[in-house]
Amino acid sequence: MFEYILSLLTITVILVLLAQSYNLSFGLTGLLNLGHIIFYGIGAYTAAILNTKFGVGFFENLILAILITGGFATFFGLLCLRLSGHYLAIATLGAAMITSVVANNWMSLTNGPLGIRGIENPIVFGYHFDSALSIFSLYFIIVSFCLFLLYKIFHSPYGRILRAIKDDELAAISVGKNVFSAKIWSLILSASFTGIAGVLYAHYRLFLDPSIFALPEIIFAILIVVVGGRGNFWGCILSVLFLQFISEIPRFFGFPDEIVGATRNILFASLLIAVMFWKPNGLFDKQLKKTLEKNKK
Amino acid sequence: MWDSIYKLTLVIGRLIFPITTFILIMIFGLEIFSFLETKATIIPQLLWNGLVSGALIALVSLGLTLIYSIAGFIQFAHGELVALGAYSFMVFHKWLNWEILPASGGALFFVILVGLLLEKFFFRPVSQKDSMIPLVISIGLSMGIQSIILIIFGANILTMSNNFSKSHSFFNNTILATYPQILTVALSIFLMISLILFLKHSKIGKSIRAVSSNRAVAETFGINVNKSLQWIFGIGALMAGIAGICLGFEQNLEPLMGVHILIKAFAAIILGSIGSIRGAIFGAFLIGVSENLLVGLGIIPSGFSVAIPFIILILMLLIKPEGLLGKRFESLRQ
Repeated sequence: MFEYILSLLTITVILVLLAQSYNLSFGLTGLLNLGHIIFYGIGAYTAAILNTKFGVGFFENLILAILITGGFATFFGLLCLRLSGHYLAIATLGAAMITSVVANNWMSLTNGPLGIRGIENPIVFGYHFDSALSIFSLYFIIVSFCLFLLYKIFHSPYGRILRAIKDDELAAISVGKNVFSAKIWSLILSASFTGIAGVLYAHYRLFLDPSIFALPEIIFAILIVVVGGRGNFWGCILSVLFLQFISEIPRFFGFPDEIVGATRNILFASLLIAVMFWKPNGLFDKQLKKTLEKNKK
Repeated sequence: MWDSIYKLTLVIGRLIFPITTFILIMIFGLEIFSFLETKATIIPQLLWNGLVSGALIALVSLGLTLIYSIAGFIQFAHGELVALGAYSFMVFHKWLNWEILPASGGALFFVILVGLLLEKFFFRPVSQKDSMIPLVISIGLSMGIQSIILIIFGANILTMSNNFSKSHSFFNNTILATYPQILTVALSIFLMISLILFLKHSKIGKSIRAVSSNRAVAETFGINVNKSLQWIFGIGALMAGIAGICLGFEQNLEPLMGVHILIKAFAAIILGSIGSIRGAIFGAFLIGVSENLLVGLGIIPSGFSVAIPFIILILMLLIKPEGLLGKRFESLRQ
């Protein structure tokens, strides 16, 4: 039971980083980027391929994944950010489809649908992180550090530019902000943090296949940010915990195995619709106001 | 810095791609021609298959583009209407043993009912809000309906093939076609023409066009916006239902069938610039034909076929970001 809870917690910690970085581009800047999961996948695949083929260690993987996902995001942003709104949504969804197809078919690099096996557990300064508790604590430290950086970004002047872009792009331009540069940096930053989350995932699961790019994963990421409130830092973390709790419910009620996934999807879909209907600013909207008031004092 | 890089990519996109294609054709033109000559026997068949899939994509993308131009958001649950059409037709036709015509009538009635109910209960209450909200709601609806189909019918693949969908050869055995395929193409072309005429000449069509060009002004002139919204969702659902029934004869029934055709339709409407009906038809046929040609001639491995619409889309974004038939859209950056 302890092991089970620890594994759940480790996945939650990774999801928090994924969701919070997605919150930076989708929530704070308001980019309707439906292809964010590709950065997660690319980070994970970078770690998996470099580790199994070249024996690259955990920390080197982190740095390389940041560089690779950042570079990819630059390309992606220059291509897709000339679109806005719904055009952007479709183009990014298309990019996600293409990456998924490439991961499925480029056998020599990704081993296709069979997936990559034999990724090592993280080794840092000669210490092997192979017990569940040690991995959890390592990940907790890394994610807390990333969250600290993200918090700083969210509440910096740059973060306020991003918030202004979401509310009114024209107004942001008219007061002399370079909107395109701000948008592309928000995409690059959020992609790099997502790449870190991907590396963590690969080194934890030790197995990777293209289902990481699947459509339900994209919808789950959207759901986390929407439930937490777009651009709401603390709400996003709370919403990951809340959703992880909900997603374990069908398993406890003893649904048959083949419909557990479908019931969970129905649960998530109705939650997504209900939140959009009655609480478009997220379930934890009040939380944001309270923290803002605290900051003022 | 990013501004200059952005402008550079625009210039590169607009100039380099046409030039390289031209140079490639100049150099390899003869080889391309001889390659096509060796494959000449299968090209008519591939073109026919492309035409059929283009007709199916066009049926879906017309509904999408109409909904976008009136309601202002992209309806992700539209693909699920296609799947519902196919599944309900199968229920009426195979399980209840109805004839084809009454069964398709029942299926279309069901799909239109679902489309109107979605509009009334999910999209109309949020129609005045930020356009992101209906988009996310439709994503949720799409996932929900998919899971419901999965629970009712299971993940097993069902087929609808019967005597009616046997293939016959035409034109000295150059083309193999089935009656449902011929019916699909004919129906799709008929529906396109009647839709364009409907929008141009009927009273409701005129009011729909008025709402799509400026909602507030149309409302002040006494046009019932909700009524045109209903009409649009009804027409979209009708076309999606027809596409679903035709698709059911073409391929197997699976819960994800709607999403697969929806994704192609997305690429089609952006290719021909969103909100334009002719653009959607053009984009749909372009995608259908080029996908079948590229895969059939062995230029692109069949595993990559899902990506082809989006590869075309991204090439187009590089060359002409406003859509092939579109005017320059009012981007803030231009």
